This record gives sequence, structure tokens and C-alpha cells, in this order.
Amino acid sequence: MKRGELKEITVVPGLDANEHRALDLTWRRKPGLLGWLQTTNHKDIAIRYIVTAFIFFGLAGILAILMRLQLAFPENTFIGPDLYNQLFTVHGTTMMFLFAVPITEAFGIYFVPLMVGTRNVALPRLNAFGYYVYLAGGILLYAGLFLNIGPDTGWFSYVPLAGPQFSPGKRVDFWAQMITLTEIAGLTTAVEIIVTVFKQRAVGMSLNRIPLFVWAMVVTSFMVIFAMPSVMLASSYLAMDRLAHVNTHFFNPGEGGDALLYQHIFWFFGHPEVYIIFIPGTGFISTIVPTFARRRIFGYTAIVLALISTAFIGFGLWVHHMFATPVPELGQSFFTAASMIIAIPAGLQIFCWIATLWSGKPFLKTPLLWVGGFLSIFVFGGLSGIMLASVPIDLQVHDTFFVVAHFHYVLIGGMVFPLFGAIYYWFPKWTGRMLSESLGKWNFWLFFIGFNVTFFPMHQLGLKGMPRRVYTYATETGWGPLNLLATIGAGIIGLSVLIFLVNVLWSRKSGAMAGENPWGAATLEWATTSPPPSYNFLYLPTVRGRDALWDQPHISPVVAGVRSDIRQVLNTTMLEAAPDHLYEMAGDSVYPLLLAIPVCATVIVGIFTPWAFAIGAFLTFLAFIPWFWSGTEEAKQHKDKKYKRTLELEEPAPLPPTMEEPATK
Amino acid sequence: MNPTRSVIDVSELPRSALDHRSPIWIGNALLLAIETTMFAILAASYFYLRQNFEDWPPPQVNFIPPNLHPTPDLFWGTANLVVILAATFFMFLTDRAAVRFDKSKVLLWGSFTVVLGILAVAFRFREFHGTQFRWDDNAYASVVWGILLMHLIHLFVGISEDGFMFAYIMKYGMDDKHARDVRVTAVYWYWIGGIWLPLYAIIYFGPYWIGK
Repeated sequence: MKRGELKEITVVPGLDANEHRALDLTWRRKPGLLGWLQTTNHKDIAIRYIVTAFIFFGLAGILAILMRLQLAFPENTFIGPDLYNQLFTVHGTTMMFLFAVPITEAFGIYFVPLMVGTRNVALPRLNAFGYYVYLAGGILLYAGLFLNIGPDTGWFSYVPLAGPQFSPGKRVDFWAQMITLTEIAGLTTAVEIIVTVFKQRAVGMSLNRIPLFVWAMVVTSFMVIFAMPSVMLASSYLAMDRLAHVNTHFFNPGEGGDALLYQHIFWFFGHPEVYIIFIPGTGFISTIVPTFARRRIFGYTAIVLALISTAFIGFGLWVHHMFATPVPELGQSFFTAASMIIAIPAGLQIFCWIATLWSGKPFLKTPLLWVGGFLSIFVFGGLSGIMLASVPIDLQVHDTFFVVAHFHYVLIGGMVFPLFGAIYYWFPKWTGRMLSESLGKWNFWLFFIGFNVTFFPMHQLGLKGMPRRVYTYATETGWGPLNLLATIGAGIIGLSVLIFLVNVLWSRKSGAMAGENPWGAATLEWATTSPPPSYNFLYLPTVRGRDALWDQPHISPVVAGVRSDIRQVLNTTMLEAAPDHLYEMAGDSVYPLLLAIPVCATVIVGIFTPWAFAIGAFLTFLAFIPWFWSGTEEAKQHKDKKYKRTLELEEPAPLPPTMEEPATK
Repeated sequence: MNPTRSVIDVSELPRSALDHRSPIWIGNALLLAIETTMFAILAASYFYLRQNFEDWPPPQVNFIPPNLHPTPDLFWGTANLVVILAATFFMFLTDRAAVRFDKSKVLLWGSFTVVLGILAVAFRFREFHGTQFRWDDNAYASVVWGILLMHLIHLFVGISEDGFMFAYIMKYGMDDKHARDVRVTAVYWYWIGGIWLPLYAIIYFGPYWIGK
């Protein structure tokens, strides 16, 4: 079959300008609020996800500071037990479900299409739909909290505590349905990312040339696909057990149900979740390190294999969260071994990054500082993880602050530090301006110091026996001074995040101009303007090596012959990324929103009555009709020769300064 | 003299792909992976809950006289298995016709799938009845109803998708996009039929294999 033809074309003056105007007309979003609600551009959706997730991060951070204030002194009465339960539940739930997973997936939505050199994510309407559902889930959780009926059974909501007998009312249901909504969003995003990477890579970007961040997002997405259905089922069982007139008995021991079944299916999701959060973090690191070390990554193949093996092993350790339940001895040994084995691929990647930095010529900018913070803190958290993998130690410190310290070291170390590094790294691409380096250094050092001051003492508190999730403690325990220290640390972290916000708000308007590729990086997102135009690349790029922009980009051919008057993209083959066929993508549409409304309403009203599901299913069915009942632009043009795009009458976009006007207008 | 630029001209490439090279095909396959995981965990719950019962299924004591081994009604279950597989088979014929862009055959075989699908939904309600339990009787009943219900939802979705698609094709004819959509929906039906084989075996023969 003909795979496209290599040829030389003459660049007449104005060729690029005409192409730019045609593409912009096709790909930009419609003006006004309606255009904003209809957009399916991956960059618009990703920025929404990132901003929303960051707002949730801020809210959950405020909850954390409130908890720390309550624990600062023994026998403190600032916050009562009921509110305290809601605070730690909503804090943990937010950080896991509304912040960590959505924000890393959002980076994937923004950068995967750019890094693989295409114009939008595959299945763009699904992408828009996902955001609305995620937003509804977040609002649902906080509506509960602000009405003082927030969930109060911890972020994993174990039964029987969360069951109908011990948690009457609707608190736990807010949690359960929030899970359903956010996981729908997570799953749709995972599907889009995989399809984009499988089918829309730039010509020449064979599997062994995919940027490591993209690999990380693909591996994460596969983990999402096999992990998140599990938690949706766990929370749905729980909601059905709790819902009046349904009253199933999945977890009711009186009728043959089983509380441990909940723990198994929750942690079958919950442990992979840790890697769903951590693997994108490694993707950030693998992107930042070679750029600032000014050399190719050391051990590309080893890192990819490490990611994949992490994903596999990650599904085989969930029971280490359940060592305090009756697990057979052989099972304990198996899961201990698996928990220790997973340190091997993580360690392997760390050595690859160190080797890259060691043999490169590093220049120390803020993103690299965060990498340093990540390396030290994550390794430390990994070491306490090895301790916890051992059953006797685990039993000793189970449900104490030692565990709290451990998972904040791995999660903040493994995900938040790389994330801040990634924001400093990619902010110029989003806005066209650099973040301030000096504020960045303040941001980093205060965060690093504040983090250790907060969480290091918790190891000691845990060893001294302080249980997690207590709203206060007696003076005689002697836990007061270390708790006060931790509270001071939380304040320092808060200050650091405020400096970050100031940096973002100031730099957005007044930062130094960035240009296309301020860091001299190798991946394709730096081959277009900052911020990228609606259509991403004027001509779809081709690559001839792993580091696209370091491998002689000026002699790589570009792709011609993709239509610019409809949203057409080039699909390539899965392994070699050879040109395969052209494909018209779905355009902007209000249908995703119209579908999200009945879906969210069904899930939310389903807290109160099972009839919501019957009526909601019917409304969802109606919302699908227009979605299905639409053809492609190409078909419309084919049928109706007089058919004109509605945008054609509008003012064309201004030209970038590098382009010449066409000779004849 | 104007400068030149080397390009790969792809304008001659096909405008669509009807098979696994199409993005929507892969997207659909991934969504089915999600649903397969869902059923795998439902099935795992079925076996996990087994340990809490002396007999599987537990005796139905609300009946007079009590039924000590209330196995699900094999007749309706098997009848519906046949109907579901037949619907899947007609979807296979529809799929073949879509490859040939044969509009009339797509509509003919497709309508068989829809009619058989609706019959399967009707039979499914007999299957619920045939479990001899209500969902809220005990954990066994909850999980069996759960499996039957989740699969029923897929039957609904499969029928609706077919209905929309065939109506569109009837009105506007077969274009590339809708030929591909038929093929993708056919994959969905293969999955609906295929996944039901192990689930049917678990629900209807589980009580005999791990019953006592």
C-alpha cells in the first residue's frame, strides 16, 4: 500500500500564512461562553483540569492546616471530633481523587498530543465529557463538607464503619458517588491517551522513540483501565448496600456478606493507584533530567521496561494494606516479597537519572531543584516502605503516624515535587512567559524544609504509638512538642504554596518572554510557538530519532496533504508509526455537556432514591441521540456543495511574526 | 528563486479505516477492557462470598415448603444464552455486510440482531425471576443479580446503539464513518455474547460445581 510520497515542494511566499489561516479557522474554538462550553481542544480541557485540580489541592491543603492546628497542642478544642473526621476524610479523598490523578492525567492531555506531534487527542468529545463529570464529582464532595454532612469515614471508607448500620445519613454516599463520577473521568482520559499514542504519533516515532513522559502516561493509562473499575464496583456495592429500597448485602455479615471483600476490591484499586500517581511523576523527571543535564537520557530501554514492570508488579501487592487482617501466612510472604521487589524497577530508574545527571553538564534551574527534592524525599519514603513491607514492623506501626509519614514521603516526594518541577518546566509553553527563578527558589526551599519539618517528626510520633485519625491526645503522652513542630512545618508549606501562586499570577503577565524552546529541550512540544496555536503544528512533524529536536530537525521532512479545512489528522501504524490513513476528528460540540448533565444528575440523585437510575438512564439515552445523529464535516460538504463553514465570515487570526503575507490577498 | 522544502505527501492515503487501524476501534476495545475488568471483579466477588455460606446457593426459606437447593432456572438461562448468541451471530453477518457497504444486508441482518436483543432483554427478566431470590435476600442473591443486571445494561446499550445506527443508515445511506461504526458495534456485540459464556457458566453451573 502507498504510505505517502517523499518529495520536494517549492515554498511560494504566503504559503505558510495561508495554511495558518485555514488551520486556525478550522481548529479554533468559537467565540463567547457557548464556544467555551463546546470546545474539545485538548489544551483548553487540560488547562481546565489543571486549574480545577489545583483549586482542590488548595482546599485540601487548607483542611490539612486546620487539622495541624487542632493537633498542635494536646487536648486542644479548636475542632471537635465530628468535624475532624470530615476534615481528614475530605483531605485524603481530595488529594487522591480530585488532585493527584486528574492533574497528572491533565498534563497527559495537554502534552501527549504535542509530544507525539498531532493536532488533538483522539476521541476529543469524550475528553470534554470527562471534565464535566470530574467537576461534578468534586463539587458534590465539597457540597457535603460545606453543609457539615461531609463523609467522615476516611478516604478508603471501610465497612462496617461506612455501612448502613454505623454510618446512617447520606455522608458516605457523597463519598461513594464522588468516586463513581471521578473514576468515569479518569477512565475516559486513560482511553483517549492510549488511543492518541497508538494511532496519532508523528511519522517515524516508532515505539522505541516515544518520549519517556508519553510512555509513562501510556503505562499509567493501562493501570487506570484495570484498576479503576475495581473501586467503582467497591463504591457501587457500598452505595447499593446503603440505599433504602435496594439494600443489597455485599458487605453485610448477617446475610453472608463480607467486610474483607470490600478491603480486597478497594485495595486492588488502591495499591495500583499509588503507581498511577507515581508513574507520571517519573515521566516528569525523565523529561526534565535530560534537558537540564544536556545529554540524552541514560538507559531509555531500561526505564521503559521498569515502567512496565512496575505496572505489572503494582497489581500484585494490594494485600500489604491488609496485613492486620487474617491473611494466610503464605499470602503474607507472597505480598511481602512483591512489595520488596517493586523497589527494584523504582531503584533502577533512579540510578538512570543519577547517571544522566552525572555524565551530563547540568545547569541548575528551578525544575532541576525540584528533581533533587524528589530524589531525596522519594528515596527516603521508599526506604520506610521497605520497612512497612515486613509484616512484623507493619503490625507494630499499623494505623499510626508512621504510616502517615511514609505515604506523604512517597506521594508528595514521588508526585508533588515532580509536579512542581513540571510546572516550572512547562509554564513557558502554556503562557509564553517564564516563571520567576528567584521566587521559584524560595518556593522550592520553603517547600522542601517545610515538608521535612512537617512529616519527619511523624515517623517518631508513630513509633511512640500515636494513632492516625485521632482529633486530640492527652498531655501525658508527650506527643505535644513533635506535633507542634509538624504544625509549624505545615505553615511553612502553606507559605511556600502562596509564593508559588504569587509567582504564577505575576509571571503570567510580567514574566520574561520564553520563545519556542527556552530550555533547549528535545521533545516536539517545543517545536511550536508558546503558547501553541489551536492546531498545534503548522505542518505535522516527522522524527528521525528518540530526541526529536536534537536529531537534526531542520532536515526532517514535514507532512503535507492533510486537509486544513476540516479537522483531519494523520493516523500512523501502531509499531513503526508509518503513515496509514487520514481521519476526520469530531469537532467542537455542546453534546458532551448535554450528556454530562443527565449522567451526573443520575449519580447524584441516586444518593436518595433508586428511581434516579431508571429515569436517569432514559434521559441519558435521550442525550445520546444528537451525539449519534451527526455525520462528519467531510460528508456534509460532500452532500451539499453550497455548505459553508459558519466561521468563514469571521476575522482571520493575526499572523505570527515569522510568516510572510501572501502575495495576492 | 523560491526555496524548497522536503515533505511527505499523504494526500493519497485512504480517508478512513474500517478495522483495528481506526482510533475508534481501539477506543472501543479499551472500553471493553474496562467492562471486562468490571465483570472479572464481579465474578471474583461471587467466589469470595461463597466461603460465607454452608450451601451455595443458600436455602430459600421464604418458600413454603422451603427450597433447600434453589439453583437458578437452567431453562430460561440457557434459552437466553441461545438468543444472545444468535443476536451476536446476526451482528457478525451485519459486520460482513458493512465491509461490502451492502446497505440492505446491513439493515436486514442488523434488524435481526435488534429483535433478538429485545427478546434477550425480555428473557433476562425471566432469568431474574428464575434465581428464586430477591436481590436483598442475601449476599449470594446480591451478587447474582449484580452480574445479571450489569450484563442487561450492556444488552440495552447494544440494542440502542444498533437502533440509532441503523436508523441513520436507513435515512442517509452508508458512508465510511457509519460502515466503521457498524463494525465497531459488531465488536461490542461479540464481546456481549462472548463475556456471557463464562458468566452464564458461573451463574448456572456454579451451584453444581461449588455448591456443597
